Amino acid sequence: MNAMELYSEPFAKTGNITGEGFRRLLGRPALGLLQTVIREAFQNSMDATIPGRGPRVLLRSRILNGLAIDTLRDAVFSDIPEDANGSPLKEALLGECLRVFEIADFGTTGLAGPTRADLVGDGPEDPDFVNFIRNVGAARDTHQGGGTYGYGKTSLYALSRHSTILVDSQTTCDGTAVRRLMGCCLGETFDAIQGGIRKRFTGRHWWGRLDGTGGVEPVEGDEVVRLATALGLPERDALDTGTTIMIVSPRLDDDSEEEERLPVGPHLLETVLWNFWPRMCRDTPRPRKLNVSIEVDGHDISVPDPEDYPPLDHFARALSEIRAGHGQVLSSQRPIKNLGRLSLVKGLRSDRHAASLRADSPFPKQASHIALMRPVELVVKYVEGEAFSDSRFEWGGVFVCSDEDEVEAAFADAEPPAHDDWIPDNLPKGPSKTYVNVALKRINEAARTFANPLSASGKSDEGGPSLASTAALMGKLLEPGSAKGPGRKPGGGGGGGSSRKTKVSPARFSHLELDGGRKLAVFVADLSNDGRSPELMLRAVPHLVMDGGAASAEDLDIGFCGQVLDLTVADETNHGGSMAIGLMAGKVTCRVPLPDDAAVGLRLSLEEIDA
Amino acid sequence: MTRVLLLPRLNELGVMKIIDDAIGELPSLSETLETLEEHSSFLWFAPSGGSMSAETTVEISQEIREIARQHGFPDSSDQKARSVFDTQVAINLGSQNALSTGEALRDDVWSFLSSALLADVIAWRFPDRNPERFRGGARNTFQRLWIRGSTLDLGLEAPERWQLVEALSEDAMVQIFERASLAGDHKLARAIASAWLETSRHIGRGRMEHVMRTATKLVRIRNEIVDLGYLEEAVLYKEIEGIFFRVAGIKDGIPASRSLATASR
Repeated sequence: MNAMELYSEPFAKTGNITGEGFRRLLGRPALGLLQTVIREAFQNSMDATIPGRGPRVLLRSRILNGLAIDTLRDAVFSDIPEDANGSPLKEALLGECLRVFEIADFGTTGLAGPTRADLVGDGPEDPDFVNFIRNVGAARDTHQGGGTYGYGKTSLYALSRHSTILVDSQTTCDGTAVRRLMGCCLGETFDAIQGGIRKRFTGRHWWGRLDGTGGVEPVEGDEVVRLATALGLPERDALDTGTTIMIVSPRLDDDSEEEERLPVGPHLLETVLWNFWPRMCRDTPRPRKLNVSIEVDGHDISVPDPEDYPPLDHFARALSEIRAGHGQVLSSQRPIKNLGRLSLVKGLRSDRHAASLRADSPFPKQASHIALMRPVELVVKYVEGEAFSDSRFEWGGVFVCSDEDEVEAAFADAEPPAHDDWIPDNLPKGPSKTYVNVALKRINEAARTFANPLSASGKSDEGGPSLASTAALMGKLLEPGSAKGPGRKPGGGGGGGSSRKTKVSPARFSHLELDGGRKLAVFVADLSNDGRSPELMLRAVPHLVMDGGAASAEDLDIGFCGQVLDLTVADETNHGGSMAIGLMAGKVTCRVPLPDDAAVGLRLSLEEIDA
Repeated sequence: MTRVLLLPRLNELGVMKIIDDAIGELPSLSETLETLEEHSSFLWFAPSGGSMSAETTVEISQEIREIARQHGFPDSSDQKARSVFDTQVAINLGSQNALSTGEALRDDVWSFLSSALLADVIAWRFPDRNPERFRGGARNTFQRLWIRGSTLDLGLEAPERWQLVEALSEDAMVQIFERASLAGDHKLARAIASAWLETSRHIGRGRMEHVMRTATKLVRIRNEIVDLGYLEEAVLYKEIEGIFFRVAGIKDGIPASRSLATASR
């Protein structure tokens, strides 16, 4: 088989956009690089969905070796550009193995249309191929689609250490099935001698077949099948249209600046869920539903439904509300316009999935966020609000802007190229700017006040300590008379002598303990002992707590035995709930087995040993 | 709400004068009105915050009297008629707009309606004439029905707005409404009532008394560690229904042969 040929783009007389410029277009998105790549790739896949079918996307990180790396070195990238990126790429290809990251979609149209940017296709296809491989900055053409610029593709190059990707697409051109393979690289501008003349090159390179007229075309047909099989790319037949993008030497492990190497699998899983859960819910309409599989070094990573992946359960519920036509309508006054719907849902905070326990998980420990999206249902960003002060509860919300074209366009236009924010300042003064501004204001307000409606009404101080004791002190400044504030009467006092007594304080709950899978509540109390009655017994009786008081466990089969595990006074420990105190005094500790779903209280008493 | 109607209130002395003086023979309505005229200090209104409307209370009393007549007042009375009377009065009071202002939260408003205007109906409904049924309070004949009606009201839009009021047994009502921790939270009370209804459809009303007692106890115990009032309605309903089903031994909607509530321990 013939090796693929390299074509480096020279500057045209009119100037080109250079590889560097192309990459700079991406700007500096607030998201991590991998997150941007996945968001962009998924948005592209969803915009290319064949109507009526939900796309399937495979994310795969693997190591090429043996035949695969030989093929890549000898048949694909045999010719290496002479610019700065060239030598590291050459070096990487000479190694025994090479990591690649692939994003493959199925049930999408593939990169269709003509292969040359200067030709107009006769077929019904959108010119996806040229838009993806050759052009940059094409306006969006999918009605209310996710991607509006097409800049996202530069992030794919940025993810590769060598700015190099390989694209394999099964698609149609003028209605005929075709499979295409092309390598692409976005290097930096450089000078080189070509045909005896020193020329400037843009830094954009393609690998394919030279067409003999100063251009390059993708490799097509059976040759692609042979190469793809040798490289281990996902198999495709003529009907199984879609695109595989292979990113050479991905920067998967240095997405963050931390030294620590990230486990890729959980990172991919969480990035997908955090950004695309609206398309993965159980009640997502089938044509929109996104089916994702993740494979890392040959291991499948199962992708749970968002409903089973807290805190997305709350978000999924909020989105269902909106899909069912519920939720609060946000509208602007001038002009009067329905801007979209907001739904907020609160609930118990469920235990997190293991992947969310990583330090850099995007998932909050206690959700208090509103996910913003357009009707295309891709999360643009999350607005964080006030969390419940009780950490056992959390809330999540969803805002979907109205699908009225004028309003939807306003929100779409407010998105920067990476689609990760709504920036009203991106819009000219006018109604569209008002729509976005007003909606964001309302959303922020809702986020701030949902958990704690009081904080909306002015800057009230945080709940401080009770003022009762201060009030009692101030009361003493008034006329003599009753200067006693609320609270208990101070002890008898003045009696002297008799104040020392043998007594035990009420039990205070201290903490919970785990003892071989059994939950224990630990109570403490203080025992004072005047030594006059050494024959006393300390008795500890636990009880269930109901309506703030004690309740009997009669008739209730909830695993409460009414027994104490052990009782410790000073250093002496007794099994069971009673103990002769003798002359002991000091701290009393009592451990009580705790049933599920119930609170337990403890009553301590001193009793005479029965005669 | 456009206008708050201030309803007449009867103080404790007034209740005693009318009821306690007449343990043997209840005074007729005209006698009562004479007493009130004589002792004008017994009767009063909130000094501000709306407009006085004695007519409203009188109208409500007439509606209740009419319901009582339909169920045998004043001559005949059986258990079943009295229970239907309770249900209908609860619905009537629950849908009275004039009672949704906060006036109905005052015991003395109920004292007036009960002792001054409807003493004879109470004597028919509760032949033992316990003063608690006349005096305002949690056990007042009408106040307790109003609490049931207004709490278990499913709202104007609900297909069967009064389904819970109609379905629940007297025992179930008492279990909910004599527990401040349950009745104090309308949402929780409705969740319990609807779980009762759902469970009774599976295992029959006959077994519900025991299930209800155990389940409400479990709910109150659970309320200690999870603030049920904090939960979203749908989650709360699921939680409460789960407790009821567990107690009744219903698994996947099918009653088990032996339930927790009757199993020996």
